[in-house]
Amino acid sequence: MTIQAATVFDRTATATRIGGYMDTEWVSQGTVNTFKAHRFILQTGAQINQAIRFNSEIEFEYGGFVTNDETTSQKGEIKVEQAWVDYDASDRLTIRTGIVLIPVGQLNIYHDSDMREFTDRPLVNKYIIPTTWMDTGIGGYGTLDIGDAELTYEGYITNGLTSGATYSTETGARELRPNFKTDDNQGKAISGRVGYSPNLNQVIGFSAYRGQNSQQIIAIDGQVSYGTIGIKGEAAQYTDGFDHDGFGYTLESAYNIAPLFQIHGEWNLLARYEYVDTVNTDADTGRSTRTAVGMNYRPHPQLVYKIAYHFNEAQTDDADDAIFASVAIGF
Amino acid sequence: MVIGLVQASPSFYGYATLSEAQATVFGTADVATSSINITPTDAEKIASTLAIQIPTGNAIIYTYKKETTILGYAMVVDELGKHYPMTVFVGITPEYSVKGVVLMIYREDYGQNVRKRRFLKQFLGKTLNDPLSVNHDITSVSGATISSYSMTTAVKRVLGTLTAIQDKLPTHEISP
Repeated sequence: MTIQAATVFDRTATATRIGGYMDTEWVSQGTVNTFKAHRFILQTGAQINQAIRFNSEIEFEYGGFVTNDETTSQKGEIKVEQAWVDYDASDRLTIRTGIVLIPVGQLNIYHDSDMREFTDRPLVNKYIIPTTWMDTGIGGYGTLDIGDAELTYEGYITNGLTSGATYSTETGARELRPNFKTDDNQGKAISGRVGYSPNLNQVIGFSAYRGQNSQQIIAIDGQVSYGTIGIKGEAAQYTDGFDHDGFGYTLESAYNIAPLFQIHGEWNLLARYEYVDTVNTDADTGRSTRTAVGMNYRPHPQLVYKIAYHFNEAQTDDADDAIFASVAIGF
Repeated sequence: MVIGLVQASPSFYGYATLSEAQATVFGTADVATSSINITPTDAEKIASTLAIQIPTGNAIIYTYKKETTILGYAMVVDELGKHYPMTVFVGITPEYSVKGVVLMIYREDYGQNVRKRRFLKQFLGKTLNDPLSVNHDITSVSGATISSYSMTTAVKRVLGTLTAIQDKLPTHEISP
């Protein structure tokens, strides 16, 4: 489309961009009482033309201190979280290739610290859907508009999670996240999500992953928001051919009380309930629940101050209640 | 006011020309273009009521008429998104309520869904008596949160500006 008048800004400056997000946490749990420089993410992207885009994310965790010493508590991490190219093949389909986020659940896609209400991710998104979960492959996504309703779809073929043989009661599916160099089990996986949003206030999604040895994760997610109140949740189940079976869900709400007091920004009262069972039997082994209450303050859409108290009931040594606080900014 | 009308470029999405935006909101109405000076007093009035800063100086105002009856007014603004501005057309009624909003140019890689009716229709009929606030009376678009805030600010900016300078705008019932 040709629109009148020209600026150098539009010809050149918008072609490449740099952004990202960062969070700084404070954790108080049991004998642990510490600040944490948890995440610093740099995003770079470029728009080659109106149909071709590139985007990438590189993450530095805990200062990016990389060491072979597995015993140290100071170990950080540097990793590429995303690096893909989008090509708009048609109005209904964009082909994405590279290191992609796996579309299982919603949080794995929208996981940025400044976008989340709480500091700590839900248990289901740690142990059942191993967020942040990315893999190498090819796929696509698109949207079908039906009046004011939207049907979204996204799917990929990737190398897949590592073998389910390494699934554990303590960490669930978390340690199964793949590397970006080789397919450990030489068998490809497919994943995808279909979402339906009848209007701006509601969305529901169904997603699934299927890999080697009957490895499978199925998930459902949903969100409703009306005025100052938002409620969202996810549930997922992991199974594989090694008789592992894990299940978890989370439900959280946010209530913006700023209009009540006519004060600047957004002040959200928060509540969240989480359940995870990495063994998914009647026994208590592998089962944890967590209830969190807290609040956050957004003086600007890209900056958030968070604090929450977590009431833990876990079947591990890490069962102490905890306070998680953080500041996160997107730029 | 900067009007971001630009030549076709690889690095933005052009969704509507000025003519198309005008037609979407005001149909086949006649349009008159005028340059109105926004004084420091006008800007202060807007800043104190809406906490939005606007530059002083000449602003392009579009007035829409059917024969001698004023149908409304409009402005085109560039509102900063996460990294780059988006060019937005906002039309209001003679009673200073929102008549229509059109996203003309979008310069981010993602978040263009703020151009859809399901988001923009939230602004119809809004006045300065409404909060015009995301997570209050405006629901954001999933995956386009910052853009949702920016669009809301653009609407508030135009409403506030035109309301502040209403004494300088062409009035109803212009004599032939």
